[in-house]
Amino acid sequence: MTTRNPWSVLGCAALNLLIAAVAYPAAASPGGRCDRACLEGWVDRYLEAVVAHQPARVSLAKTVRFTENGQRLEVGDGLWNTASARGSYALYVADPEAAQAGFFGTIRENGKPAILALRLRIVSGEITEIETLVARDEPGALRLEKLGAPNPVFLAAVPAAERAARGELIKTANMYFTGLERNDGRGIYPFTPDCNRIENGKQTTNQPAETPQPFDIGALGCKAQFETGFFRFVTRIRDRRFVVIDEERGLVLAFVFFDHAGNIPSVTLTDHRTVPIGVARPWTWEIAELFKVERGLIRQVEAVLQESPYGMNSGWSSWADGLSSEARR
Amino acid sequence: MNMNPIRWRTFHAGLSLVVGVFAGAASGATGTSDRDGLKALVDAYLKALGAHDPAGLPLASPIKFTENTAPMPLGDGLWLNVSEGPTTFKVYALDPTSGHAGFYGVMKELGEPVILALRLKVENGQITEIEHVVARRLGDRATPNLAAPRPGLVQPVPPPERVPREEMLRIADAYFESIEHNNGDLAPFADDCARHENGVQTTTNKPPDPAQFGTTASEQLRLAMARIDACGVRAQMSSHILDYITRIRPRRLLIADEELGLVFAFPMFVHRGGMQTTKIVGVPGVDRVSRPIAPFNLQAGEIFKIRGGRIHEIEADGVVLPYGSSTGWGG
Repeated sequence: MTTRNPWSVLGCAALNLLIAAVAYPAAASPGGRCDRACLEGWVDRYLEAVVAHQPARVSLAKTVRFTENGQRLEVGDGLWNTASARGSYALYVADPEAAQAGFFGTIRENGKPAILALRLRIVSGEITEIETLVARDEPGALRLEKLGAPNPVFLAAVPAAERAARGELIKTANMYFTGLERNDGRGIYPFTPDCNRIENGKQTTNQPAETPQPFDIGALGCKAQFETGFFRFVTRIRDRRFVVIDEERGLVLAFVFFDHAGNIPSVTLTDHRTVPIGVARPWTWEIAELFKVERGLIRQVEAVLQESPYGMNSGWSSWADGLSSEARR
Repeated sequence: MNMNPIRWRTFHAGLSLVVGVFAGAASGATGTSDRDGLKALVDAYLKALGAHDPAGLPLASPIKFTENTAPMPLGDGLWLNVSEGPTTFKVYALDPTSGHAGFYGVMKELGEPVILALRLKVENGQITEIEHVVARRLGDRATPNLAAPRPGLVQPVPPPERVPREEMLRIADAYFESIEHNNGDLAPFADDCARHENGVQTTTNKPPDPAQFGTTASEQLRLAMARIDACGVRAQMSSHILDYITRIRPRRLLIADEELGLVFAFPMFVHRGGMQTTKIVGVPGVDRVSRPIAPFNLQAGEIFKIRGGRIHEIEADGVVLPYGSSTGWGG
């Protein structure tokens, strides 16, 4: 395991934040709308405040709502107590229309690497909503940092003539969850041929196992994986909240839960092979999942995952919505 | 290495489905609130659980059900996959005064052993509340302890050694005070008191052999923890090793079985997280423990055996939850 010096990381982060503070003033851009630079600046200032354990460093609405891993906390609690530095991986998603910012990045918690997915909502120059998912996955955090930088696909603008409306972007991303839930291999799976997926820093497509496997799902591409019917054991993808839509870049950030009832011990694939599923208990992933959509097809998927209690609510949904597989904004 | 401070280890034991009591026996309006009625209701519930079908149970409408604090439809969670009901590890705690039936036992879920801490609230012959705390992924260290409960947990307390209900609750609460204040003198521990958590004995163990541990920091921490686990409950409480537990709220001391001397609580352990650097008190060979703690909560189902005014056995299961989790029952 490589161990970074937290102080050097903190130093880099502080420098970045200084630059960010100069480049991205807190105020909205001309016209009153908080644009990409403005939203990214909010993310940086928020993280600076978290690492400093000082909520007062960032403008918070009196009614601000803050959750960490699905639990409502006072601002200043949770990761605010334990964050020791930012890490080197940072991926921003900006939704000026909804005044929301998304972020995937690495952090240090008491010096230990972890992954953070973050959503901020900004209203009238104050943060009104803070949603965080902290994946305490040290190897995953180090894998992300080893990547060096986010996939450039996530940073590239979609040509103006090819941009899809928000509803279309959500519809395409939701097909991912619909195709995966009780996956039967016979759905419509809108992927580009070169699509890949990264989960907690690990590429889980087109990545053959180091030792040959009788059935190697990870060796297949996005669409081929779905066409196997392998993911049938994902029994419910619920509380699908499509919350940050970056139209310029064709990005959709969703927060969802993957429930596994645990009652599917094996799966018969579409090629009639039967493969065992190793997990025989109810269990749930809480997931922040980012999609790059181009011309109605998903080109890249990146996710932050943390196991959560089976059936848990996000802290942003009614009980009924929390158990529903319907797409919501 | 895994620096998770959670002392809740896992265990397993083998069981088979209980048979015999049918739901109808427990559903009559008369007799359901006495000890026999409450026990029959638990057995009916376990039978229905094993059959994956709650339909025959006397359920109030609406019925509230949580598993590991998450509210869910009855029939989900453990209901989906029980493959063997409890057989040899069964502890009942029956409380006609509060209208509660508690059960703590070992069963199988798709062939894998799990512990169920169960609470049923009964009103007018109907089940109004159902709470599961299910501990899964149990480890080998627990196996020997889960074939059957310790005898003290199932033996009635001789009348001269019984204590009034309110005193039982006060004594159990004192255990939590003892943890929060790192002071073993705050609760009346019997000299033979030992604690099992998810089946693993976490006090009064055989002292470790240092030769069996390496010289790395992680190995030395493991040795220190083994030495602390060799302490009696009172000494361990006073050692300060549990000072990473920020608070235990709510404690929900809901069930008191005066005949068996059992208090069954459903406490929420809250851990704020941070760098724990603790001066350890009174444990030979251990001066200090230093480790990072991530924020987390833990919901437990915890049974205390109280006899002669002292705690003799502590048996608990627990599940790790996100920091800040609520119980699902208000608080």
